[in-house]
Amino acid sequence: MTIDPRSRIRHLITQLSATSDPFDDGEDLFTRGVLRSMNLMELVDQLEDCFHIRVGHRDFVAGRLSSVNAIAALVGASS
Amino acid sequence: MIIEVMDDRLTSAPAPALAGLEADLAFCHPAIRSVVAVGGGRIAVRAAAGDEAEAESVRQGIRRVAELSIASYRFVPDSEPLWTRAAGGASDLSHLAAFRDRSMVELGPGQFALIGPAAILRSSIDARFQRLALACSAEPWHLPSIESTGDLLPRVGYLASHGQHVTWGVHLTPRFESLRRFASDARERAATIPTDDHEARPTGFILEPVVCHNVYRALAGARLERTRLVTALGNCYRFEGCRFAPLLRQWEFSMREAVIVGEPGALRELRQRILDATLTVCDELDLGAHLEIATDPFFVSEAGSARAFQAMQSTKLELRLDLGGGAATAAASFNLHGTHFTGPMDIRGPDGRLLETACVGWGIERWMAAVVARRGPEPSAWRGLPPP
Repeated sequence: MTIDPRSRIRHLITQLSATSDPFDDGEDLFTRGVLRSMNLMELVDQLEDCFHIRVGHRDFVAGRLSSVNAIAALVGASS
Repeated sequence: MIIEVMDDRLTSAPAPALAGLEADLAFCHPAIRSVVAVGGGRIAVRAAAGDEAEAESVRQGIRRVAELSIASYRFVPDSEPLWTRAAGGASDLSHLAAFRDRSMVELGPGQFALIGPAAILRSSIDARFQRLALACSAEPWHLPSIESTGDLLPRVGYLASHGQHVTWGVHLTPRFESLRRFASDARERAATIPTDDHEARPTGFILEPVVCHNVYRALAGARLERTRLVTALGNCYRFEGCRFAPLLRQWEFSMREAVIVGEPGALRELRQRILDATLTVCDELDLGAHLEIATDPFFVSEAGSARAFQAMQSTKLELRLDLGGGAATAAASFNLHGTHFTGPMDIRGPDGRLLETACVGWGIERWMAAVVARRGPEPSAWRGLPPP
């Protein structure tokens, strides 16, 4: 059975988040307070492990880690 | 003795990572007296290691710090400056040594008396930035030089991320018997540090490392109808391990800040206005300078995410002033914080939404260093500054 990448991303984020508040796939995870800045490298490590990708400088500058949708696009483009 | 560690990661590390590692090594091991070299695959420090076991302990510490420090710069690009200004003449680091000999007296690590013209230069530079802030309609404030460890700091994780720089305080318990014991020990045994026997206890305060924290504290719970811009000069304190340097890295230093609290759009506009005005001061003083994206000096074990996040958001800009010989000093920073402080301090707008904050910090002694390096140690050469 294949798990939808978006579901896996949401699962990773939920594991890292200190809040149980619901969030939309398009919402900025950091502005919304779902993730804190201190979670960022954990998120990167887990995305790299889970999806076998390498996150680079440009992914940061372009805000490709800011929302579930953005991360899904990054994962799709990198894998 | 010189202790060396070879590390291949240094050969491919970008310039910001090498500069950051040099700073992190100051907090690696108490035996380290200075950092001799970082780069080309090699780290060398001068250390007062008593024996080979201690030297090996230093090497192990260096390897661990190097690994964490370089990793924390993974997402910090070695980018081109955003703005550059060339001075009309060269700066010379040797002027700083002459200035220190003539006009400064060292009172302790990173602590200096400024004598005569040096004190006037400090006041003049601060007056210039106060004028700049007031021209942007800032409210002048005066704030304590100490701040509580019980509210803002734990909520924003400051002590975890910057604990290496913090100076804590203790006081004697106001109990006659304990105080009498300490008085007796001070008189008869030259005791200088209170112990448990004297009922020493933490003050619950630290010497402030930045000015803006006390502004957020003062505004805790506020519902602001309009953007607030506050300016204050503070005596700030940062322990720097083995890296103290006159004017450039002092335990006590003077920082004027402009602190903005408001809606994101107005706040960014005001920060840009202050930034532009600061760049014109470089013109007035004919200082070589460049503006670049920077990150804070986070403690190395906590730095990874914080540094990556700051780089991702480009929230910190630093103005670096030329000192000559390729050296420069970060003399002003322009920082956006989002809701980092307003959330914990519950500072909101009239509609109940959290506001955001920004701050600009001018390191007065570092501006002094740049002026002296550019103009020389003679007071008659320090043109372009208003009287204090």
